[in-house]
Amino acid sequence: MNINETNYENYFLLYIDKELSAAEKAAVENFLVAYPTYAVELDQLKKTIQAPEDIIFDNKALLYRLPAMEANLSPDFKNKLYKKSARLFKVEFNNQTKAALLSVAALFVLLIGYRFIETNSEGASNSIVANTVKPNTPKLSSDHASLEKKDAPVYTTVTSAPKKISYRLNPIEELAPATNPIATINVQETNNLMAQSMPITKEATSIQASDLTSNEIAQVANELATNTTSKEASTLPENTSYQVVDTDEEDRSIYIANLEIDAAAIRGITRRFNALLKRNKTDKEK
Amino acid sequence: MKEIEFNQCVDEYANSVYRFIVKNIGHVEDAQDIVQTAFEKLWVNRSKVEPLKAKSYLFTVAYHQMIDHIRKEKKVTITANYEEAGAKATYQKDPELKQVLLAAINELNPTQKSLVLLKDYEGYSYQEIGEIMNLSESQVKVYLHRARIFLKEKLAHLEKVAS
Repeated sequence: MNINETNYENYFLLYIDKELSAAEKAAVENFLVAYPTYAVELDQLKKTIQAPEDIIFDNKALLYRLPAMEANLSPDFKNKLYKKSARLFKVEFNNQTKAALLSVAALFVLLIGYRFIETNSEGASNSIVANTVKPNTPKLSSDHASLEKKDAPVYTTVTSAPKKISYRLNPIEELAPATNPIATINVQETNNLMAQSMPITKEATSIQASDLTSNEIAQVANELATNTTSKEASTLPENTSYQVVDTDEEDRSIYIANLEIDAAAIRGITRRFNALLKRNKTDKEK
Repeated sequence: MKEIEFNQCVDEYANSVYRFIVKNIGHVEDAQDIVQTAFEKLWVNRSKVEPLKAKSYLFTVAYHQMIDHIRKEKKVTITANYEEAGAKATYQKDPELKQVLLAAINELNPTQKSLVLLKDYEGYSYQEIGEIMNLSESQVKVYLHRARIFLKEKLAHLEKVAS
């Protein structure tokens, strides 16, 4: 190390900053002995050093941390405070299982479709015969052709299983000849009207039992008919035609091979499955 | 770092940090706020800070807080009202020289001022100052030397005028 008149200032600065090694310090001091005139300059630099001052921070109390200040809640209590959003059961499918499930679903749909067509063609011949309640009176049977024509579309939804529908229509039929010209009661396709007509039959039979004249019966029946079926009764043709419609939901069933399955249950399952897929989709989008 | 060690840091370093800041910005309340923030940060990060590094951590945080503060306030004119905070000279025997030096230091830019204060008050090495102020060692050296020469010339000039 060579301290000379050109580089002394840098060494002086490092000297006062105490950044020199012991050897370098000694070299600076030796230089000053050799060139005493530079001692003034070193003194001037020393004067630039700030004297440490006793400046006190008054508010230490603000800085201390006391145990009471850090009153931590117990983990158990914290757990009570946490809110958990209800996690829904989520099914993740990879592409392979998706493809497999899709093919299974497609097969299932095809099978159902096939069975549907099959049962439909079978049912067309069976059900009508099974469920039609044919009136005995000759007048009604004369209208048989038109009755069957009307019935045909109605019975497409009825099951192929033969069964009896035991609505008792006889009282009206008995009454029909007597009231023939006027009391043409058309029981329309709704159950509602069917229910309404039941009291009529009761009343009609009671009237019959009291041995009233045919004219009187006709009058009473006419009144009842106009009360219950209003305009329809008077405007309808003479022939009484009955239609029995099976609208009972429970009787709807699907056949897979020989296995009978409730359509409502299937619909419920498919709905749920659809909802699940939708939820999955929306979750992914999120 | 545990609670006890943190409170020891308060005892040992609160004054130093405060002095460094108040000397730099010359505003008692702001300096106190900065010190408080620095200790707050130390407390938050106490698990990451080793007790031996706590002092330089405090100075680093306080210094950067102060730089932010200066930028916000744009306080170019710095008053010397920290004199009222009970500052007493122990090094310079000459009260007049001390006044002159204080005036000269206030003419330095904030970086140079911080360098001088960290060196003279806290006795940090160039390397440590570099870590605190996010400067390289050679930058510290160059900037600090420039500040010293400026101060020296100021003092020499005033002495000439006086004599």
